Amino acid sequence: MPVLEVENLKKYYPVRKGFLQRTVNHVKAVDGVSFHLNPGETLGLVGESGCGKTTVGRSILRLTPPTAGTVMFKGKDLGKMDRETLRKTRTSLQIIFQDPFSSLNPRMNVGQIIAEPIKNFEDLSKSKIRQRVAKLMTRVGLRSAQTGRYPHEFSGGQRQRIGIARALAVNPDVIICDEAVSALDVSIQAQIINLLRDLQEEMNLAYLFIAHDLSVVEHISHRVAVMYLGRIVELASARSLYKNPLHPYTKALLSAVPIPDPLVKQEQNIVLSGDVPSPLDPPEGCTFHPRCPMARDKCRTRPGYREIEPDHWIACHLYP
Amino acid sequence: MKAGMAPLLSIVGLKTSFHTLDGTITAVNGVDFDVYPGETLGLVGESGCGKSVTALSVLRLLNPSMTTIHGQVNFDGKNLLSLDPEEMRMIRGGTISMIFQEPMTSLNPILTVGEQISESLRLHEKLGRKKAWEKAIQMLEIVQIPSPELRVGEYPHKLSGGMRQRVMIAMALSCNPRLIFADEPTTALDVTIQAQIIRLLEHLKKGSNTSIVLITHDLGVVAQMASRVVVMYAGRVVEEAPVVELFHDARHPYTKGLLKSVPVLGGDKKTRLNEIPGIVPNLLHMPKGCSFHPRCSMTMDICKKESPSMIHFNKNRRVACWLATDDF
Repeated sequence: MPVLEVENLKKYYPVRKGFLQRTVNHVKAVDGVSFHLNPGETLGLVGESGCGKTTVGRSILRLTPPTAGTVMFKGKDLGKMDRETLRKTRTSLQIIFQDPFSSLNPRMNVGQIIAEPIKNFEDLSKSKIRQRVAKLMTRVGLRSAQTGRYPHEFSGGQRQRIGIARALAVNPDVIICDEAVSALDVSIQAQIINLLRDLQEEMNLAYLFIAHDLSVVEHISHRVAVMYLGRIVELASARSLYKNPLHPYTKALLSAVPIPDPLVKQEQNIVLSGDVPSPLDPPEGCTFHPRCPMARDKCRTRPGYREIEPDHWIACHLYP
Repeated sequence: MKAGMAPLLSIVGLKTSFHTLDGTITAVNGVDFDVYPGETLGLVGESGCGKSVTALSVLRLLNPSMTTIHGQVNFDGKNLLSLDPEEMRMIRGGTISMIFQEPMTSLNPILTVGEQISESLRLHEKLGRKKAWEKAIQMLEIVQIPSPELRVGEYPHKLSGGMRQRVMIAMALSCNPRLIFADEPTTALDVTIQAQIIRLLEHLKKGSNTSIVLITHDLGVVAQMASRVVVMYAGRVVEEAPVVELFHDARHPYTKGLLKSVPVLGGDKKTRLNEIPGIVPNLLHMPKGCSFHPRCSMTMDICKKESPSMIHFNKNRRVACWLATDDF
């Protein structure tokens, strides 16, 4: 059974204008997203800035309540839970943020940061908590002697380790990694990716890995979903998505990644013209059609999202 | 590089120190490299390795009361470091220009795009107000901004990230520079926009003999754009090579480690990424000997004691490592 099932998730932000602050429009940040996540699995969620990938992560955790749609955790609807049950369920759903500089409280030392979720959810003695914190710190590659230090004394990579330890502190089933390695230098990024993979194997964690770096996502994910303007346009196993991308947007995205090998000349890559349209005023029908090299008349209507090969989902008129 | 060709820019023993309350930090510690006419030189390294400070030192954009710069920057028969501020001002933005990383913060929010582009045209090309404005529209057209005659009167906040980066490029190109320092020109952009900008820069370069120093940590961008690469670590050059040799026959353990730590599209997912253990050293407390030795997998005794000197294999190939010998 999937550990997380997301069905038709929507998040609209109202745009208010004028003296009466009437709602004149909506920004459809997430516009009907569905997927599931299996235990011990990594689902990559990729897309360009503004496509709604971060909002998906936040709406799942109800850090920002979704406008519509359901999120089921182990078969139970998070939206229908009362406050206390939801609070307790949050131990199973954790998040690691992008910016290791702003997501740690500068006035708390590392020990306090990692102990906070434990204190919040479990009734343990001080010494037990201290032991657990020390264990977590060693596990993520920090020295337990550093518990008294403050976030500013650590480098970016080490801070991300602190964020991981904090997420692990309450034994979650699912961790949402929101651009967790994007701000790091490559040599440090590799350290954190390897750490996340080891932890997954050890603790059977499921990751929703939100990122814009397609190579990193391919490396870490079992399945990958590609988002464009609030919708998933393609979802498949990492292998088939990268070997056999079907949606024109996925193809363009993949061909735009510069290959770190000067002998591979990327003369043939598909260069999309223009920018991502504003989600305030998205194009009619398939939202990608104004930039799509394969667009036809039919694309002015919204394509259905369907499974065209086993476990390969796509929303595009090119595939009847 | 090209036989017999004289370098356009020649940096010799550049050393830049910042005076801070905690002590003096040497961010660039004896950097040498040449840039030849018409080439794209990649300057690669991780945060804090001194690549941006090198560019800022060459253009003398650092506050002189807080920094000391030693060495020579020879450009066009002149040492830029010994020019008086007014002479330097005539070069900066004119024959040497710079594209900054953050198109969000490096444009002036209270001036229109047109005013910002025409400023340097009026200073360097001595154009009148109207002529400069017309040239600004032309420049926006060259960098493929749609409806340039409308965009020229807009403020930066109305433009997307990719458009702002195009405006930066238009500004950098407006006075036909002979050398451009592009500091992470695509880092803040999405991949599809990055591809547009890379293509644009390559297209523009074909039409002129401008040299580009491409400063980046993105090895993919370097592989696709540069012809020669200089790798920096902790304020020093550790390796230099033509781009193909660097990616296929790196000699310095740091370069090798860096290349192996990037996941590659279509790469083997089963294997773990190679990690370089530890972190970049604190410039206030630099390790003794080779500054990379605490993170190096091949450290020998001598690495801990003495800093390796640069070994030149040929004109384009050099490496600073105790493992490197003349014949390898």
